[in-house]
Amino acid sequence: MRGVLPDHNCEGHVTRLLVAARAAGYGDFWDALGLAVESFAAVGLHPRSPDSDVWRTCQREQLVLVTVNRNHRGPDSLEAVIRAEGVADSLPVLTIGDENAVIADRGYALRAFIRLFDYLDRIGEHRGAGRLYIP
Amino acid sequence: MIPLEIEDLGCGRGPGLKGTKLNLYTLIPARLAGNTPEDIAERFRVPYPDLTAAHIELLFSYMDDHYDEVMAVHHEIQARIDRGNPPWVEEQFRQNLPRLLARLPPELRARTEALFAEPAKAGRAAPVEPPPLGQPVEG
Repeated sequence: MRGVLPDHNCEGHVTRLLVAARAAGYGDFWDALGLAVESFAAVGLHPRSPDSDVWRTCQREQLVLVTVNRNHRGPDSLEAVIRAEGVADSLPVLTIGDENAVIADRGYALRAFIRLFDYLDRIGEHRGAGRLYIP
Repeated sequence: MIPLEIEDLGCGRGPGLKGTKLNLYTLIPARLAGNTPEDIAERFRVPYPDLTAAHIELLFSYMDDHYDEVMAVHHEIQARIDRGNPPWVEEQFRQNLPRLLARLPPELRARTEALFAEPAKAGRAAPVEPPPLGQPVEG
């Protein structure tokens, strides 16, 4: 794994999480992971690329996708792609469970950062898990 | 510019702003928590710098017009999120947290420990109870 890819909608949310974490003193902690935070543009994705393309790009580029999306199940949903194409060593998708709290609750934002860090730090234990939540 | 139009965004996203991946269901918790359309637009200006309160109001107007249908899907999505991770994921996190804390400088370790000290704070905040069906939320 070489980094994370915030879903296009949550580039701002992931940035806020990391800014809040640095402000709280976790900068060195985060930097020690040595991970890139990529963008759709940087990995050649269109802002409206379908979830299947985004997921495949993440697997190919060894990036963990971070989302805030609340989607219904459907044949072309991210959930369906994970089920159809996920294998034992696929990188998980991390979904922030409470988009509103990232903005409104500093304590939640810092807990979410720690959960994100822990998932990434122990990524080997989370491969193949499909979708995981940042509660 | 983002047009003031709603379309089905596909990929299970449901109704959202045409030309974006911003769907209504992602915004409902923020609305239920009492945020204004301008507050909500502001938080998505990365990556949508042209997003305005009018775009958010358009989505909320759609929500009010299709309230029962939208809230039924919202409840289903929220229930899935509330079920959260498989137990092994949460158990591994609880077991690993002390090792993770041990890597932090003492002062930061204490503050981080406090963040997770209360069981109620270990996860997300309790979901906001939406208003009764048929009761549009003040935007």
